[in-house]
Amino acid sequence: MTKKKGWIRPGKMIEFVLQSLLKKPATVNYPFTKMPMPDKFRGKLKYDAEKCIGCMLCVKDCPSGAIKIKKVGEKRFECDIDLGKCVYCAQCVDSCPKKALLATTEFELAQIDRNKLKVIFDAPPETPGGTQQKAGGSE
Amino acid sequence: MSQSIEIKTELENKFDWLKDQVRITRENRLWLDVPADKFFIIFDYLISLAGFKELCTITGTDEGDNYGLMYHLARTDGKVLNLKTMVPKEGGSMKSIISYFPGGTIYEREINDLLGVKFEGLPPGRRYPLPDNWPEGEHPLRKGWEPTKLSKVEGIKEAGEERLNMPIGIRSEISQPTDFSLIRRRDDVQISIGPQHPALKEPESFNVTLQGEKISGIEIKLGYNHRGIEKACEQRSYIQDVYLVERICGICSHTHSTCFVQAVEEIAGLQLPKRAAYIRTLVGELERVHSHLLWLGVAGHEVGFDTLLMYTWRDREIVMDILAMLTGNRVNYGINQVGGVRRDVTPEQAADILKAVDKLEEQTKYYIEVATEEQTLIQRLSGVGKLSKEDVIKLGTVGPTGRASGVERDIRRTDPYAAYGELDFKVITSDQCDVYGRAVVRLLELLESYSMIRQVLKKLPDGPISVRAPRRIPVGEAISRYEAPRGEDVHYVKSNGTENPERVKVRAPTLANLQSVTKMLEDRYLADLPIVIAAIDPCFSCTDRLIKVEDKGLMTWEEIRQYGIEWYKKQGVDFKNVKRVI
Amino acid sequence: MLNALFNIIIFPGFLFLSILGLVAEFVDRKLYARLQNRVGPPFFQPLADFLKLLGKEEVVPEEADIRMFNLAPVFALAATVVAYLYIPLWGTKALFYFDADLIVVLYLLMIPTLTFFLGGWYSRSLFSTIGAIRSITQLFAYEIPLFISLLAPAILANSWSLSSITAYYTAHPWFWLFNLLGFGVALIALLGKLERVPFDIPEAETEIVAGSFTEYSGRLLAYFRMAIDIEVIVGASLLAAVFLPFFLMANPVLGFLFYLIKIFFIIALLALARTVFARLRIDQMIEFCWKYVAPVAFLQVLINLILKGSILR
Repeated sequence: MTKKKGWIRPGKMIEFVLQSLLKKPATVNYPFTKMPMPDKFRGKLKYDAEKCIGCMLCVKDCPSGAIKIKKVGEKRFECDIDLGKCVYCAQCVDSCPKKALLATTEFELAQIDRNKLKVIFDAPPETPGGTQQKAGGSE
Repeated sequence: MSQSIEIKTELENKFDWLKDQVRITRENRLWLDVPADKFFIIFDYLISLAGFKELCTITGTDEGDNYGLMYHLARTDGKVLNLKTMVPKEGGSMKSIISYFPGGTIYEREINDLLGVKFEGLPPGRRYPLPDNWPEGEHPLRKGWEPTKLSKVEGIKEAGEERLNMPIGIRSEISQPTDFSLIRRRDDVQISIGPQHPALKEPESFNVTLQGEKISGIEIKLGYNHRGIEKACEQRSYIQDVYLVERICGICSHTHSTCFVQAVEEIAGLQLPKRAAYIRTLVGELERVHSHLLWLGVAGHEVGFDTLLMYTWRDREIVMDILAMLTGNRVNYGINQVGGVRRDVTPEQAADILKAVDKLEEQTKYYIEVATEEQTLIQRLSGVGKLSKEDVIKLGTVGPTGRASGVERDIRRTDPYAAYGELDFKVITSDQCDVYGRAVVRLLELLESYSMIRQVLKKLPDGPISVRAPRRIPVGEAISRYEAPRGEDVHYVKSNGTENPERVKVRAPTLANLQSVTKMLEDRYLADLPIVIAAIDPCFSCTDRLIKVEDKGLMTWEEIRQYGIEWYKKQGVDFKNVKRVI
Repeated sequence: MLNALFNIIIFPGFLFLSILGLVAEFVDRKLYARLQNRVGPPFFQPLADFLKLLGKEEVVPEEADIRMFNLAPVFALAATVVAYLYIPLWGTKALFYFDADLIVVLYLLMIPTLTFFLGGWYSRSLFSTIGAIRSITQLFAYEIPLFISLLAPAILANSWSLSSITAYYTAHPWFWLFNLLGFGVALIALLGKLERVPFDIPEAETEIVAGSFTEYSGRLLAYFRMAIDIEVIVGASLLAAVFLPFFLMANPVLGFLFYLIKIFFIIALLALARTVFARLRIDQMIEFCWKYVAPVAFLQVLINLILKGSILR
């Protein structure tokens, strides 16, 4: 593949470029328009406290030490995730034998205050009920 | 296997004290330990008579009382012979191999800096990769060196003192000799491109000496992106290391991850299922497409052709969306695990990929037309950054940079890994020897990648996607090579039976290509500098790998401003003479 | 007196030219973006940029010459605004006219380039010096073709005054078609004067950061950018007056409308050139201008001389 010899007309892209005037632009007006992510996207984690058995495999396998499991009672565990340290690799999701962790598609997690990046997922209450999430302001 | 045995028998016949010392772990891999006094006899023989003319890298290890130095020599048919020798810690030194491999000085400087091994015959030069103000005697890669030690060492000289108060314009002293200078003249102007500059995507420093518009000298300083990944790998388990190694670079993340995992699997003796190999190849080729499209846009931007940047990056979005759908993220795919891959390819995904590849192929053919016919682009790219075939072999340049000078060196062909042994593809070379040739090589490689993706999807075998890997990898060592979009990437892993590796050594392709930048810029203009640097497709995140993170707590805006003023006052900048015009 | 003040400040002085310059910058950037399949900035973006720059802190390098550093943008603005006063917008008479005002306008248009050089030189920073030198070197390449191609229609019209030229061409319609070759040359030379791709070598962002403007920030940078915007308008109006002198009606509204159409047509051509070309190197640019562009300009003069001598006696 060699260049053509001689003074070929410069401005080869002119027809292509003029056609773009008639097409819809490829960029979108973020943040007014948001692009959806595919459903297997690895975003923020979600913790199901009912299923956790406290084996700590997720803590052991996390490359950055972002997840911590704390015992708050008999078979009740609380999960602390530092969103600033998490690299969103979802290794903890794979390591968990009980599938208590899930990766959601949420990725707009920026904060100005570093303390707001620490998210705590509460342990299930004593009586059977739902899990609550005490968010650190990440919504 | 037979060829490796041939090499072993030849060596043992030539040197009878080598009987039963050569180990062969698998096809294409030979290992040999020699004592330091007999080292150069074997080295000479291997380079001149046995044909091992490429030096992949040099690995330094800390082994108790000695330093281990392993020289990885490769041949054009894919055989790698790893030659190891020991140098005592007290008063030991090693002769430099600069006379055999001029491009090997950077590996020796790295070992000198990080481990403290002295090399005789190494010319004076800049430290690599540690910064200028790193205290003497602190060598991070030694076992037992902890980062917290550093804050207690006194007398750290603040960097850049000598540069701050120099007169602007004419500099008559020079700190270190450059490769092809030159008598200093009075009208030389020295400017520094970097570490922060609009032409550079990543921090590196080029001190360019100019006469008018012509470049008369250039000095490269690296190490701004060094993060201490090799040391960090030793303190984490293999499962964690896969993600750490992946983040060496954003564009070639799958490269590093696959290369590392292949080495670990080789040590553990795991048999990779075929489907996993094909999926790795698929993601690898998609990564190559995305990297070459990115390069095309960056090259366009460096010569002022922003339209090409916008269009190629628009097409790159298609690839990123495909990768997000396949692997779960747009960069840092995280699809590898020791023993296989983590996610599978469904038939719907395969259909989407084929549609995307069709669209991309049509666009790439249009870009090839633009590259061959657009006069302003051709004028900026041709004749610039010439590197002859002999220089490529001498300096050890890899990847499309070397292939554009006619040297056919592609790891996918010579030393196949993953599924490349079963795919049908051409190795693209060109004889233009300049930046235009490199653009041509990359564009044609894009077309080859599309054909390879189609083949992979058609031939995808059924089966499991991973095998169970033990957490403790048995004792052993392995070296694995991978053809990254930029060239040959080499990982050396040594395990000691625990969950953490003993030594991980990474040699990124850009390190091998950097030596040729000085050669390419001889007698060229300043305006060619950005495109020549961009033409080797630099990825300095891959190249450097230490920062010391000090937790100073949070600072408000005013505090940061005060901190900056205090820092400059310590340098001796007198704020009374600064004129403020408002 | 009041009339003069009105002319200088409001119309066609600073206010009118500023607004027209900002509108032209928006049109240029939006067209550039749409040609690249992007959305592009909203309509108030150039005004927002200007106002933001006015509010930023000015940092003057320690070694720079304060007076020249501060005066360079002011001179650039002043020269372009004064040049505008001599160009006829509608009708055949400009606001001020005298014999040989075409030459004066061309010289006034050279002043901004000199201020870029002086501003860059007196910043005493390495990148600014290189940018300043490139600015002057580029001047040698495009200035001659620009002058020659602008003088060709004047030769045909027998006068060096812009107002007389437009009067001549209005009196002899369709004569402007003889000058189309010169129009092409003048467009290329205008690309060089306005320092736009493919000739934006003095301000090559990827090589020398920002060229002469590297050390400028705050108000002074705002003035420089406004001077460049106004230079676009002045250059386009000059080309429109000399090469496209038709539909110059005395009626202000209709005449102004046609004037706007003409200059936005030229600005669109400039934006298209910015999109499809890469940046040339300085030695390639000089070679190109002297080997190909200047001879075509001389050819145009020759054609006009022959026409004047033989046919249009």
